[in-house]
Amino acid sequence: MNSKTQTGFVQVDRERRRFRVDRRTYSDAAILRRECETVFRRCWLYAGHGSEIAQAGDFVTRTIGGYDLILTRDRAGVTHAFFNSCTHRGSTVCREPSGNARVLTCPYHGWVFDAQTGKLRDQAAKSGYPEGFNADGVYDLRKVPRLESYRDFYFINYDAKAVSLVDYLAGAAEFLDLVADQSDTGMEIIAGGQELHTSGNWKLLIENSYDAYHGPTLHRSYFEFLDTRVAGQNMVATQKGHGFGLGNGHGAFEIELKSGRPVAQWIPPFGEEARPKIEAIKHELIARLGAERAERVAEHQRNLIIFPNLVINDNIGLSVRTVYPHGPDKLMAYVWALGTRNEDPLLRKIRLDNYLTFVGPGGFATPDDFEAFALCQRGNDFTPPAWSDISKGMTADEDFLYAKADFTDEAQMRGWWAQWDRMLGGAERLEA
Amino acid sequence: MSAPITREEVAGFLYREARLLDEWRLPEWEQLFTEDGRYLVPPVGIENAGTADPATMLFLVADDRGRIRQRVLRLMKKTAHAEYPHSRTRHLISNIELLGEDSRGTKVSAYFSTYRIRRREVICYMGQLFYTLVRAGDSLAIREKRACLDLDALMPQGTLAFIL
Repeated sequence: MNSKTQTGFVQVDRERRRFRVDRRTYSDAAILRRECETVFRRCWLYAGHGSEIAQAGDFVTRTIGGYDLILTRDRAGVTHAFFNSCTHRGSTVCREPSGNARVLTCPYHGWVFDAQTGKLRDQAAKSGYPEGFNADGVYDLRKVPRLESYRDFYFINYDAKAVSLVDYLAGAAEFLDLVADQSDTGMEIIAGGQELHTSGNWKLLIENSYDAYHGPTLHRSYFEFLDTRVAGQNMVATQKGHGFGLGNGHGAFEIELKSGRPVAQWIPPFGEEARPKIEAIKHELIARLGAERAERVAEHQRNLIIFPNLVINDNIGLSVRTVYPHGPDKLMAYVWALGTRNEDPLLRKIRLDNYLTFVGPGGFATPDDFEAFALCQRGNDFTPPAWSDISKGMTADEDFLYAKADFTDEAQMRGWWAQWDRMLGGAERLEA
Repeated sequence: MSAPITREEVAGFLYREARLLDEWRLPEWEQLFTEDGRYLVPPVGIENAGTADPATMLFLVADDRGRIRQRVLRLMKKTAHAEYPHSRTRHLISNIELLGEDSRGTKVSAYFSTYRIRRREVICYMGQLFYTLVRAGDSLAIREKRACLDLDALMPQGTLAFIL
């Protein structure tokens, strides 16, 4: 019995428990165009964290889903998202990656915009425009159709009719809660965010981000290193947990693993000085959240994907990544480390140190992931067309969007691909 | 009191370090560090990379001596996939200046451009190196090596799997 999928690029054979993806989806320019027109135009896309624009007048500029944006906070504390292009002739208006400003002045003809509200303030011209030229506001900086936040995570949407962010997040909202609940003072982005290009279709990084299956093989050298840090514990053998779909293509796996977390799991390499500090955090969590939830926040690790491209790895460190295509065979990623606001300096140091060893371009694991993307891309592009297999742990009657299996299975990825198929095929528009 | 470190000595030492790296003699390279030695690569695109502190911001690399050893052990394994087979590299060092001494050692600045050749692709990493060097017997030793990349994003480099 074959289930018919929307696009034909995803093939489901329930009898034989096969879930397969056409590898042209990783290399075909026409498919990439469809992704850009559907997935990146209709889904909620992570834009930034509230801590990056904490004060009135703060702004950041960044490219999200192919568009240059300015995110700002105004005097009333309200956040805005504008397209970073002058309403006169289109020049990029704001050239700094971040800062604080009252006005933004276009370098070309000197049109001046209120940095907080986007209103056109001045055109640097004494003649040529009638009174009330901008009475209808058409020359104010163009606003991104939708901007909403959940627990200080800000998302934009280019579809004005999109469902609300909270409806969109579905079961993923709970996982953002598990991050936001780590501190009673809020979370913040730590300086040193990374922006990078690497070989491989963007979906290869998505799949990799919550694929626990590859850990023991691809990252063997990392686990060997980790075992030297926590004596007498085989890190691979002691992991246990589940992977699941969270609705709307979101998915995660969650495991128990004693590899140390500043919030809040002490291990000997952190040092005796850190021990009471981390234990105090655990006590605060128990008092605020109750014992059971505190245990989950402190001791469990999670890799989450919010469809289509937000990755939150809440494991040995806490990182936020977004992934975009850069042509069919290359990807672009933003990577940020997240920590608790007002974090103790020693714990901040431990957090960054713990994070560095695994994650990041100079870590002991991420470069090997990137190598795998390059090898997959090469294998796809330079051998005859074939199918990729994402069947591990599939049951005959699985509801892909809410599948659940062992964390080393691929249930979470099937949820993602099922949603991708629905969106590209036109069955799902995510509109209210 | 040992004799002050000269520019000529520093140049010879750094050229030898570059050769050890390019020949993938990493266990010997590791021996160039003092027991409290550090190897740092600050984030790209920041203003103060020369003085930035890995305790307060996310570095690309912030290894103490123990982790330098682990990095070397890993890179010599076949399971360090990003560097298997080892890419060909060429570490070029120039503009060597002695910046003075402090209690930790002699401060040195040098410019670098390091080429990595892998799968028929040449990618360049360029920037400024800051060293703190001390005397060790007949030779010198590295107390700190800080490689500040001139990039504003890891584009197209992507990763930093080898040693700068």
